[in-house]
Amino acid sequence: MNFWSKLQSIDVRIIYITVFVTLAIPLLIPLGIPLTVADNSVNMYTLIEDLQPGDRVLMSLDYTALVAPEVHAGTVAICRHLFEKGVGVAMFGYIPEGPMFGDMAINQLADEYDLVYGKDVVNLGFIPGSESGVRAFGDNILESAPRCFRNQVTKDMPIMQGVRNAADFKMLIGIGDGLQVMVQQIHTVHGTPICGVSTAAGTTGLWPYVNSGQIKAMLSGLRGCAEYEMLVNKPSTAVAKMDGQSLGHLVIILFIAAGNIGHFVTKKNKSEAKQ
Amino acid sequence: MSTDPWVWIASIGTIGVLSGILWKDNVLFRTVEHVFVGLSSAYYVFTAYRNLVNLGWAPLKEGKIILVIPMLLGLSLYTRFTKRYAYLSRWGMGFLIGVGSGLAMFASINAQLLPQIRANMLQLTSLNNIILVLGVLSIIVYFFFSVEQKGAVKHVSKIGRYMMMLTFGVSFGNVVQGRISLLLGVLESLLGKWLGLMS
Amino acid sequence: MTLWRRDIPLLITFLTGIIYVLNNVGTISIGSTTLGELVQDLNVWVLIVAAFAMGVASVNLLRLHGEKVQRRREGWGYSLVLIATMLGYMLIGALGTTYQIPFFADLTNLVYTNVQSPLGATMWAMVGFFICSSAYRAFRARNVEGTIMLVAGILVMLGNAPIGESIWGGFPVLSKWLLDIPNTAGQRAIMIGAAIGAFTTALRTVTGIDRRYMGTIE
Repeated sequence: MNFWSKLQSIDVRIIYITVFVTLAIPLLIPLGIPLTVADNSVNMYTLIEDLQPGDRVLMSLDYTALVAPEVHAGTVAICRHLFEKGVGVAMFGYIPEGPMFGDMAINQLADEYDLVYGKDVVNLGFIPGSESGVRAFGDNILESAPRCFRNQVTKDMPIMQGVRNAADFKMLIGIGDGLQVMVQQIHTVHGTPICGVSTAAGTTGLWPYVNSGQIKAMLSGLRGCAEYEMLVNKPSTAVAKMDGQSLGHLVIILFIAAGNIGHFVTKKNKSEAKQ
Repeated sequence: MSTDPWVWIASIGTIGVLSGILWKDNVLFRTVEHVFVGLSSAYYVFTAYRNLVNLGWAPLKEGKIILVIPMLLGLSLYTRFTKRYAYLSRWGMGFLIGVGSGLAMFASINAQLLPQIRANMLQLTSLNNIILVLGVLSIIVYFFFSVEQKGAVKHVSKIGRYMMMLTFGVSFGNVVQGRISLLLGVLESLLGKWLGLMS
Repeated sequence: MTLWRRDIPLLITFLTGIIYVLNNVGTISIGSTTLGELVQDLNVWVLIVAAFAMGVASVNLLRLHGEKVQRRREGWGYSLVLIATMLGYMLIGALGTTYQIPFFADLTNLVYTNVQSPLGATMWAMVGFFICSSAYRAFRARNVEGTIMLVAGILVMLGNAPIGESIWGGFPVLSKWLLDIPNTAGQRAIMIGAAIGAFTTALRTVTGIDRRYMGTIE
């Protein structure tokens, strides 16, 4: 087997270890590759910046532990922005694990922003029933979530006063994989403007909604979260991983290039040998 | 290095899962795999239990007798585990499917079909608009026209196929981005929280 | 028996489907109440039935693994681990979340954060390794279609990583254009097709033509 053939058949374990090491190095020794902020993230920031103190927003947390490393940083960064502005946040989720991440974000930021649970923020918990559940929730929020994630009665909470349905909130911020459902069952029914954070893989499928204006603005994956961390002046875990993201993409491109070069040179050599 | 026993448990579990890609089917991998399935399943159950208590049981105790009906419909789903009464599970399932279908009929037209067609009604005054309009039409021709692909249809369909390849390429790039982010999350826990090597 | 086995479930599906469709048409009165009010009540029913449905898969899982342990089939030890973990966490979770007993509430959070969450994240992250190796082996510019996909994929990868911009400022611009225009066209066409498909399937289900959800129970 010559060099070009070998280039096409590198052992998978070598690939795995190379990827692992390439990603680990920039986490240990940051490279400081400059990160610029894209228009999408600025649009998202502007939407939230335009909210007024005392306004209320819904935040749907529709992600599990499987994709949390990609989008949870966005939850925290957006919550920071909302709490900084004095906007009330009512969290919920139609994926069972989502509200757990909401509670983590509340616990992380509670002292920093002197949050009063039930007044500044509430976690309404999990809403069963997938798309039908979201519709039920949007139509009558208090009846769908009589008790919150911490099992307190929601109708007595200051943040829930005057709330009937999703139209009583200025905006819905969807994080994770639920944006399409939010467009279908909240925006289309109640007209509540939608924005949010999508996983990178989900971004392509949701982009027609951004193009049509059904989603006002959207951050894409960890990169989007990193950009938002920069916008709120709190560079944190997402920004710290951007060097690794860069090297990870490069190493995959190099492997694809190696496979293609090996393939074409071998093919060329074979056809020359036949002639 | 962390002294928190919970961080150690998390790290051993993480290493157990990672061991699966280098040495398939080892004891540690299979154990953590089963632990994960058990925990995830339990999480669903106790979350649903809380919903049942708050939405069904508590109002029922307060006198909302009508809620007996959805409770029975819900319970009917479990008759599928019996041979004799398995057919009763269709009642609860039929209810959920009926609601889901009713909502899907509304959403598919009002949230997807009409807004997306409307958004694509663009004036052909820029190259981007031309690509969007012709792109959508050519892909529809490629996908949905069940006529023989020859002549003009063949050429339009070919453009549609190229447009789809561009779409798949963009999707691939984004999927790679996502998976790398997840790997970085795992490494951050191991190198940072556990070994304390990250600044 | 056909009435109980076939007709009633079909009627339930038909009625609930029609009520939800008509509710979106406008305000319709039924005696002293409106369809909208009826839907408000049905919404709560949906949440209750859906909550019940969430346990079905777990009962099935318990049955399968319980039988494996009972008959001492190969790998029954792992099944025992699964059952013990499941029942234990169910109890801890119920006491911690529904009844808010502080010790169990903390324990639920700790188990989620330090066991369930890292295991799930790592399992999903492993796909990253597989994507890398399969891209290396299968992503070849063999024909025009493959080349278009390959070039688009690489441009997006470079455009989405900060290093792409450091190499050439045009990468993010190209990547954004690919997302904005060709991707939107492709995804929009898929969405239009999917919407028509979803509507047709829903209509067939509500009218009882499509009965796949009823399974094969006799």
